[in-house]
Amino acid sequence: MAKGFTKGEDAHHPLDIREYLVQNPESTFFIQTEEDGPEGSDIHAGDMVAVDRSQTPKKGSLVIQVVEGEMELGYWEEKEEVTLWGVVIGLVRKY
Amino acid sequence: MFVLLDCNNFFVSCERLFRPDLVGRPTIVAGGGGGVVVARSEEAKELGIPMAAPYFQVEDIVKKHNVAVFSANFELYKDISARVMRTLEEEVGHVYQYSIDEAFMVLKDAKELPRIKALIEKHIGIPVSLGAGKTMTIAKYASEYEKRGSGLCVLEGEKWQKLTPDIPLAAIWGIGGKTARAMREHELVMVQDLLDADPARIETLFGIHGTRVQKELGEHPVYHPKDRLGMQKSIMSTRSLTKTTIDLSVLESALAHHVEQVAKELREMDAVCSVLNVSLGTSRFGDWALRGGRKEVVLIAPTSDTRLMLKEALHILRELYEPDVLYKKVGVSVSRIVPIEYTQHTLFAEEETDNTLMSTLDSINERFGVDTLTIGRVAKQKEQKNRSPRYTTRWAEVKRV
Repeated sequence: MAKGFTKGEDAHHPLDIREYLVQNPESTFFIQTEEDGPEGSDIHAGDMVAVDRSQTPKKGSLVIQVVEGEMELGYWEEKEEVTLWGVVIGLVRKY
Repeated sequence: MFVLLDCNNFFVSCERLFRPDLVGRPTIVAGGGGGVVVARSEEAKELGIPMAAPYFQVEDIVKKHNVAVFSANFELYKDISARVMRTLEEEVGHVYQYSIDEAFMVLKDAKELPRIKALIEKHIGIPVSLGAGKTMTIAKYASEYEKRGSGLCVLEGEKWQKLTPDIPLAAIWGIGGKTARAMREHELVMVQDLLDADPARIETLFGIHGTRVQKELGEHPVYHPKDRLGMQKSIMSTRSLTKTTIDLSVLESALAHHVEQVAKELREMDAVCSVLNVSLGTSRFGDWALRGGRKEVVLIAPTSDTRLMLKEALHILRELYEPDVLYKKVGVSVSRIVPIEYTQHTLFAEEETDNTLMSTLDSINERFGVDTLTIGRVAKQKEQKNRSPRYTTRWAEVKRV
């Protein structure tokens, strides 16, 4: 860090949407939807969802899951034929 | 204790992270200029696809068994690697990254290992193996030992000692094919044979390198990941030109010869280097005595590949070169030499289009005859048509669901 530049309230940089959205950058991946999300999710085709693999979903959490080898959006429910990929923690939408 | 974390079939695992449909299907990644196999899934290994095989040699197996083939996607692999390393670092403090998919740690005991493995596999989604032992050499072996089983292996004390009669020396990190053959000639075949041998005899026969391996296998740590693992310190090739010259292309061609010599020697030693130094000397007569000089560069990935080394060497030469100075001598030396076993990613260092290099080579060859530059493993870049999207580094290529 350059001299005379202190970390803290004086140090600012333009807002970065990832800071707002992402708590765990190492385990967070962005995935874009090709179609609308499951009913009630209010996710539209073309949305960019942030998915954190480090999170543990509750029943009904919005997740990316793997069903028959394909990744898809869904509401989490523990089932034998479904494996968890990551938990949806937010989304970015462009109009 | 020393612990090595190794990402299993790393490049394949990176591809499968975003393509879960490929889990269970034989999968390979081809990289390097000519398209050699640089990563294989377990299923692909079982089909007998060898590592480093040129792609055309395995094409029949690929078709017959519906093997999924990818061109190397280094941008993706580097990002996933960085995620693994940072996650690990947050967890255990200091991590010594050894290659794109391996890292050493120093831990108090083995209690933490299952948790670390589970953490990386959940957070990043890449399967890993952890091997631990009292020395780095044993930890490396341990990481391979249980790879197909639990992926967790601690070889210490009695557990290690029980195995040593059955482990061939050739399977040990740091013992290359050449060393293993030399050891066999002296009836040193298994790890136990080396442990039983008189240390003085080992030193006479194999020098300091032999002594170190012997100690490491005897659970006496010699290496620490914070130190570099050195063998011979440096190799050089240099000679005065028959005539002084001001012509850059003459210097380039002479340098190319020296690089080829050094690279050949490295390959004969089964070793790679990571520092390359070019020196340029002027005629002792006249006003040039203070010109010329030397400069060195640290290579992105350790290598013994003439092509990669020459690219760097020519780059340095052009920086050192001044027009209108009479030059008499040019040479190259390489250092930070380690056995190729210590760095498994030398075959395919970086995949990038180096057309400037190829055209330089071509023009040198044209000017001085076809054989001025003889280069091993030169192949035209294969089109990257099978490269997967760069899911984590390009917005336009993110995974779609």
